[in-house]
Amino acid sequence: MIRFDDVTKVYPKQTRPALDNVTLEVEKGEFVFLVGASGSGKSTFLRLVLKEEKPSQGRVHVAGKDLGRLSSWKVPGLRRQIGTVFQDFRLLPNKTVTQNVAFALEVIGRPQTQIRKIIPEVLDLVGLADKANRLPGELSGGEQQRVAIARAFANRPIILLADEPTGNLDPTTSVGIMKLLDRINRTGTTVVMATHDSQIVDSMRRRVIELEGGKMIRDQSRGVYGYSN
Amino acid sequence: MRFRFVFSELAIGLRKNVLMMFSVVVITAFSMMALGVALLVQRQVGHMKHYWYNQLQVSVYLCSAHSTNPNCPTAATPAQITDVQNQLQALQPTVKSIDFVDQARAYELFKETFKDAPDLVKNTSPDALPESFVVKLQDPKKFNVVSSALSGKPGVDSVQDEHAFLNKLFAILNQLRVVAIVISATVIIAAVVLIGVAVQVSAASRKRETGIMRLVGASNLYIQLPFLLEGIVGGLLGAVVGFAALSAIKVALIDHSLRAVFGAFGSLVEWGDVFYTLPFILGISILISGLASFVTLRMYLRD
Repeated sequence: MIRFDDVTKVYPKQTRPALDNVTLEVEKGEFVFLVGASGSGKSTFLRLVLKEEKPSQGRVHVAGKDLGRLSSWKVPGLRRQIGTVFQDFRLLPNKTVTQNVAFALEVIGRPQTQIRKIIPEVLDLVGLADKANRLPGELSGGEQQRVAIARAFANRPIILLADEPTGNLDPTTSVGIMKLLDRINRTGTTVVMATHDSQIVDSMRRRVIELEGGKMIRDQSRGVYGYSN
Repeated sequence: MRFRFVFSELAIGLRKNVLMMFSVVVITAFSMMALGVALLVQRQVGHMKHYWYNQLQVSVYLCSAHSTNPNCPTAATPAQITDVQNQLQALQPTVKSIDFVDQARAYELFKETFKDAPDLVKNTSPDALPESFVVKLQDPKKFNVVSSALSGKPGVDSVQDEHAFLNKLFAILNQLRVVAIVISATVIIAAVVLIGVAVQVSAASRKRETGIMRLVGASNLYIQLPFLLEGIVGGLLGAVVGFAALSAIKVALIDHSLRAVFGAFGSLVEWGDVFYTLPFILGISILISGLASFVTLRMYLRD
């Protein structure tokens, strides 16, 4: 599903590479934690999967396609297959929950009839069916993140990328979010989640890939946040 | 392509950027008005040339009681008139036809020519007008033949070739046309830059939306289209306002003022000419606003 072949990424005017010779493979349906300190390359990894950046060296494959060979007008099509969730939720403040999720569908040309059907389903999945007409400002952090997840999942992507989704949430709320991501993973969606949250990682015991200074230093199938003993 | 979505985004953008849109419309309107003036002047020259070069005539004005020319101590005598006529006949075939216009007919022609200026007609009595020979030439450039043969002859006040006057008039009109084109081109450049800036400001104010659109995989066209349309709407409105201004000029300046004085020199521009400018104004405004928006967006909203 995601394959990195000897990928190095050096940003212009930087001396140290953001990613340094990373080779790894994520299979379909996996749940992977991407851990590491700030600046270790987690966000760069996610940006490369979305083709928001191009690797300086090496090749990135997503869903069997070599991103290096993907023409730029095909990139939107790639991104429609990938759902993204961020630490700062990235909702539109002047649109309701329903409108926020609908926006993502309208913008890729889905007809209104389909949208009207999808939204209740996906709001139900994230547990926000009764808050469909609220504005983001009226929701708690956890609820806002659920909206973001609903938006990311509405188009049934094959991959869900999460960049520190629990970064702005308290531990109890974070657990709820992780349960949701787990449920989504169980439907067959590959999930890659970059995180600082050691508690979550330790409690879920999934594959852990650790980055340090751009290099992959650990790839453990049922790992914990720090080195386990 | 979901038109409803594109148009709702367009409406949001227009509402948010009213002031910028206003300046875009004003500047585009001005440039299109200048362009329209240039085109109208061009049509005017065309009208005049068409009307007058068909006339191919030279007027030999005979001395009248009111002549100020020292060559005219008295009004032309019948003998002098016959002499001039013989001179003209001798110039055939350069001279194609000779027509004597007596005072009565001169007055009728005068009334007809200045029918839009009743005050002028009222204050001119028939015997104030000189008699003349109206001579049609085979070749209008041979004016000098008639002039050299008859200028200064007894009984001849002046030999007038409207062509010389008209050529001066055309020269002035052409200069006016060039000035109008230069003004128009300069303001069009300003409009192009302004439209580019307006579109950029609009896109910048919607960074959140466009960011999310890119993230969820909206195509570049879909993202850029509402802003592109904003630019074009501004250009089109400017064209409409510019055309309205041009029509107002036509009514206020030409119909009310110029027609009385210059109506004699063939038809002035009519509504048909004003509407002739419309496709140019619409076409050019759509072209410049579309291009300005498109190029700016591609540079600015690039991945």
